[in-house]
Amino acid sequence: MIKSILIENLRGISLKTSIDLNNKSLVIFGENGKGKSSIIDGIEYALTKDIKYISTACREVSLQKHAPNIAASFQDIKVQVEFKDGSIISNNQEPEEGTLAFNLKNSMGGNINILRRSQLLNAIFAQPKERYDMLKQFLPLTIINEYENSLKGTLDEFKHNLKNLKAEIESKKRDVQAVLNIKDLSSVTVENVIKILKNRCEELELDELKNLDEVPNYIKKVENNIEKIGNINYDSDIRYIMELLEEMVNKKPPTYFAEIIFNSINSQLDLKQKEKIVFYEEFLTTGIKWLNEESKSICPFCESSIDVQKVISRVYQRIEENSAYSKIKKEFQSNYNTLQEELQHWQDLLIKIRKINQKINDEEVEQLCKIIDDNIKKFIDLLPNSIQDNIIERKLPEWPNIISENAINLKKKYSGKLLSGDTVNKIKQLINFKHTLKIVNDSFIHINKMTDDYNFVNKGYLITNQFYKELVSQRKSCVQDIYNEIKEDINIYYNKMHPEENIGGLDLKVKDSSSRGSAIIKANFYEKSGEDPRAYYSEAHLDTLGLAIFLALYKRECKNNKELRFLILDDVFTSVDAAHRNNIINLLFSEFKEHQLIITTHDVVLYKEILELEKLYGGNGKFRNIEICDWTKEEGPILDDTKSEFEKLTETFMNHRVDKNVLASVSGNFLELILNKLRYSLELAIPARYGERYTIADIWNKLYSKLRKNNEFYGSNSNVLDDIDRYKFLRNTNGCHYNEWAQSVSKDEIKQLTKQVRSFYELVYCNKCCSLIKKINNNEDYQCNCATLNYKKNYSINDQKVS
Amino acid sequence: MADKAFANNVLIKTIEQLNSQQDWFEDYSNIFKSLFDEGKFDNQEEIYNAVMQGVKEL
Repeated sequence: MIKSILIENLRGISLKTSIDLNNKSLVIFGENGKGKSSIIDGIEYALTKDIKYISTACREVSLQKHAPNIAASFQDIKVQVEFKDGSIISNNQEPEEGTLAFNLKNSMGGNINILRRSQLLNAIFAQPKERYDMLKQFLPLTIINEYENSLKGTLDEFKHNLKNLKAEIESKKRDVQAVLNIKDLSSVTVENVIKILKNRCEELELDELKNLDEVPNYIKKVENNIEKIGNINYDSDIRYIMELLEEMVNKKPPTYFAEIIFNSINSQLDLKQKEKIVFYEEFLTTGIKWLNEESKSICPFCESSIDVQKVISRVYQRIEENSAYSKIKKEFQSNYNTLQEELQHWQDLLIKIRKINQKINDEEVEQLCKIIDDNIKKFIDLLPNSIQDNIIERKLPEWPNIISENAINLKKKYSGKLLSGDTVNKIKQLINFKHTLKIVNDSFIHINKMTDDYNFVNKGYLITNQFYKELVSQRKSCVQDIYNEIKEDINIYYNKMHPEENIGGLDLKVKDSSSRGSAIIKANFYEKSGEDPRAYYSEAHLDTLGLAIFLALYKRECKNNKELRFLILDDVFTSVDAAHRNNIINLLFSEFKEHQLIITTHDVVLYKEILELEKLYGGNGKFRNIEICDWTKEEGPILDDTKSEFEKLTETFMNHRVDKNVLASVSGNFLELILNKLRYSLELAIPARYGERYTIADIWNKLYSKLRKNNEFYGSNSNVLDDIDRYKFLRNTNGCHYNEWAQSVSKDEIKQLTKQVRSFYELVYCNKCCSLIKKINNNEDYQCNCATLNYKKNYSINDQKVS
Repeated sequence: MADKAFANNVLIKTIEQLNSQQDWFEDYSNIFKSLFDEGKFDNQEEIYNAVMQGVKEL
């Protein structure tokens, strides 16, 4: 049982909103948008740390962002539910072990206790799979679902690993397929491979290969065979060095390129001309530099002012016009580059020859390299760096003929050492075969190892899969057991909601083919049976069907956990007509009379009907009613629990047949309710009592004393206060316990008390702003929120009231 | 509590059913029972390793 609720900064609630249920059932009435659901959100959040319709809405909507009131942040949310034993469950405090709050937290986590209208229609209109997901939150499936999901994830991991192993095996088989030129991958079997290798052995006139185990030793045999036939590596080296020597013989000497430079310069310009042109260009280039660097604006010759950029541009033009020299310069640069490249080529050639000579170690080769090396250096040293260098008077170095002659002699020497073409072919075939054998051997080592791994992992997969499938099947069977268990209750509830209607026969079935789970609903409709109710039932009938299923699930859970006996229904009767609503309320109040109910509605007619029915099921002792008068952004819902009680009092008062003791009791209860509220609003100093259980006497004396001192209040209403003071004892003598002496009290005396209590309420409660009067200053002046009710302490008869 | 009891019930029925099958060994059941008893039912990696270890030992 919930004792009290406190909510702050959540959804539509800004300021601290507290509701004292005192373990009674609670009916909340409020128009749309006044904050009813925010109160239920607060309870749900305290119980489950979640508000499901928000957290499951969509990616853009989240608890973190949208649970707090718009003027607050997530950290500001404060929700708290206090239970009968005083234990508390809240969003930021863990309940103590062994308390009701603790037990609840470790049970269904509050899901089974709250039903909203949206859930009803979702549950009915959803597809069987989604419906199962909806119902799932009311079933004890959390742990088994976690196990199933983990097993499913493990199976995926097995599949992933098996796929990888299969891919690796196939990749190795592809290597064998390529090296043996096998058409289909499926033909890469041990038998086929050994057959192909045997044929190759026969072709190469080698011994027979019996099986794949022999391959490592067979590779050694082939290697020995190759060595016996000839040294193919030495043969390759001398073939390569012969190629390099051939290149050397055919190559034009550097002299050829140096002469081109010499001829091109000297044939076109003599030294004098060349010097003049060079000087002219250098002069102009220096001038441009001077103009740029010094940012000059005066001509150094005539000292008149100049436009520097224009002068620079004209000087560049002059240099360009000196075209004869430019052409020669470009030509020189091109020829010079060619010579450089040629010398580099010779150097590269030397590197290659020396590298191969490290293997064959021939001194004659090294001597030839040294000669070439020395001559390349001579060319590098004597080469002109630029056209300005006077190369005319220099002698060009010579490229000795001995280089070409020695290269030809070396070539002749090596040609006698070459293996014959047939021998080389034979060796190449054997080397190729050795390579093939190695690939086959390495691949099959891998294939065998990975096949073992595959079989090992596959065994794990098969075991897990078998277990998973059986677990799912057993879980579905156990869920079906629950459905069967609640079937009777569903039908009882549904028939009570729809008596004498030719419908019902409801049944819930788990679909066999679904691995996750699904819930199929079957129902009767006149002569049709086993039909999907969505096909025939009205919206209201479907709503109530959802409610019947939920109530049956809730009842089943309560059987297992008696501490769960509180049921919250948020606006679930909207689509139902008056007659059916009555049936439902009767069903709830009778079937769940031992449970605490929290019901919200926006329908004023329904609210009145509930108030009527409350009288049959325990009245004030069992129920509390709260009306939400208004909602403001700054405060949230403005609650009022006095109006409905006042109406009840009035009704009792008007009933001439009512027993005088009942009237005394209702009047006393109402007076107690008002006094408890005035205690806070008028800031009365009352000695604290355990559990804040104050009687009329505790509060009245203090209040009476204060109100008597308020001139304006007491001046006009002294008879009301004095009468209540005189008759207040009737609440205890006639309203609480049977008392022989009290039977002498007349009904008129009790009616007088009731009349004055009603008058008192009208004096302290403003119907306009739905608030009680409160202390507004230290002068003990009192007024309501809108100041319609206004009582000044020092009011004198001469003061004028402003209406 | 209800969730744990329900899951335990499903597990017991699953194991009973599997143990009655010829191609299934009780040792396999023990792997999954142990995982549940040790609270490792929500850990994919633990399940994978336990199964592979079980297969190795059997």
